[in-house]
Amino acid sequence: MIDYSPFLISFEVAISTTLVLGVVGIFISYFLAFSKSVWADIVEPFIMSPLVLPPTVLGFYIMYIFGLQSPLGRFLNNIGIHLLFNFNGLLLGSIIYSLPFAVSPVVSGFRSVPKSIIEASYTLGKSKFYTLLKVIIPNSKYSIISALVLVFSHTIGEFGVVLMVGGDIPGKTRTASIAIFDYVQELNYKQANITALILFAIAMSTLIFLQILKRLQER
Amino acid sequence: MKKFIVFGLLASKIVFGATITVAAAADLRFVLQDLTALYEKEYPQDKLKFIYGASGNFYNQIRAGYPIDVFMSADTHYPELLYKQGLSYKPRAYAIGKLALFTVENNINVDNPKLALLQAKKIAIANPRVAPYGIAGISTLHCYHIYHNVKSKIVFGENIIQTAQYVASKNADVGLVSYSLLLTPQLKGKGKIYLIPQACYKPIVQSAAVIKATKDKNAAMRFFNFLYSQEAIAIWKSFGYGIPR
Repeated sequence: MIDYSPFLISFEVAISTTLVLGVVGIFISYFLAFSKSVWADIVEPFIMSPLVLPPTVLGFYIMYIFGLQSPLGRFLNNIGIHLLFNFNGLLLGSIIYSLPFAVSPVVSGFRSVPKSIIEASYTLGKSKFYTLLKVIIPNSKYSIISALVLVFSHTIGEFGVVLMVGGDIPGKTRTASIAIFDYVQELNYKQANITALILFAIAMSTLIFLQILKRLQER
Repeated sequence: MKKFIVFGLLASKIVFGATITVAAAADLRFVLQDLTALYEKEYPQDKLKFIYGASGNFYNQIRAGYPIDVFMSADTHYPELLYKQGLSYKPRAYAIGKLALFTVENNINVDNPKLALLQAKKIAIANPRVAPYGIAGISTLHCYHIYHNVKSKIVFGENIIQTAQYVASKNADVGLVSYSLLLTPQLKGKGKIYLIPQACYKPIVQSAAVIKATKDKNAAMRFFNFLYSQEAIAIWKSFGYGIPR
């Protein structure tokens, strides 16, 4: 008798986050990898900050910016946009929290594409967008795949942000990682153990997959 | 005609049935299992959902628009604050928590609590910043005039359940925890208990309130009022809670 809803919620959030960041991450990475503007240097630390910030800092600010006690939160609420304590909240928190994982590998992938083939494409009269799509992305496919896998597993594993902005509502925002915490509090060690083992298996398989990917790339 | 009545009954069930989401203090986790069973027997049309956590966190989340119907705090402070801000209906005290000394070590004698606390290598107490039982724990140490002797041995649990787990798992030799928690099936008979005299700490009065933003005020009030019914009071008592007048 195991409750599947936390897993379904976790997967739903992780897949949505991966899809959103798969697209957004590529454009941000393109900007960071090739822009000579000082803005790239200013933006990069902000994008990387979730790596070093405690999740509680992110959760706290998301709650205080979008909560009903703030003017912005009330405005959004009046026009029908609810960003806290529902699926949107989980998604928003996960996107911010996993952003560095979507960007960092892709930036280094883009930077390692030989300049000569990018310039060859420009010389042939191809646009920047066409070059990104047909030259840069295919040459960075391993970096992009590993970014997507990292975003997925990192989103499954997050706890602090989703607890604060999702609110642990059973069947709605209680993800698998929060469910473990709840089972332990309930002294229900058996359920905690089953849920934890499944998450452990998911984490290990993504890491093994990344390992295989690394070997393929080196070949 | 008969068909009509049947249809009417079905419709009334559909109309009046509701899912009631309750944010409840961590120490209520076990007593609420019994209360839920009783409530759902009495009102089978309703479904109860619980979220457990620290009362202070719930207070912040409710201000941010937390979509819950009823808030059961571990104190009276947070519900009163919500009421003053117009975020909840009038709160009411549902139970009074009691503090107990708890150990699973054979060589510690709880009948002399002062000596037991002095002999212990580690004393588990809930974090007094967020947990009312933690405040009561600290004031007990002051009451026995041993706070300064033992303060370096205190380990803080994030809530009262974690604090009891420290003791049950022998990571702390004694703990000052919620008495009602020790009467739950999971912890009952696992160790020795001494009820701390109530003169040693301020009564841990716990209040509940219906949140104004509830989507179904009638259903929320139905559960809220149930908490103060004679049948519910019997359950509160069986879990060692005092009943507010």
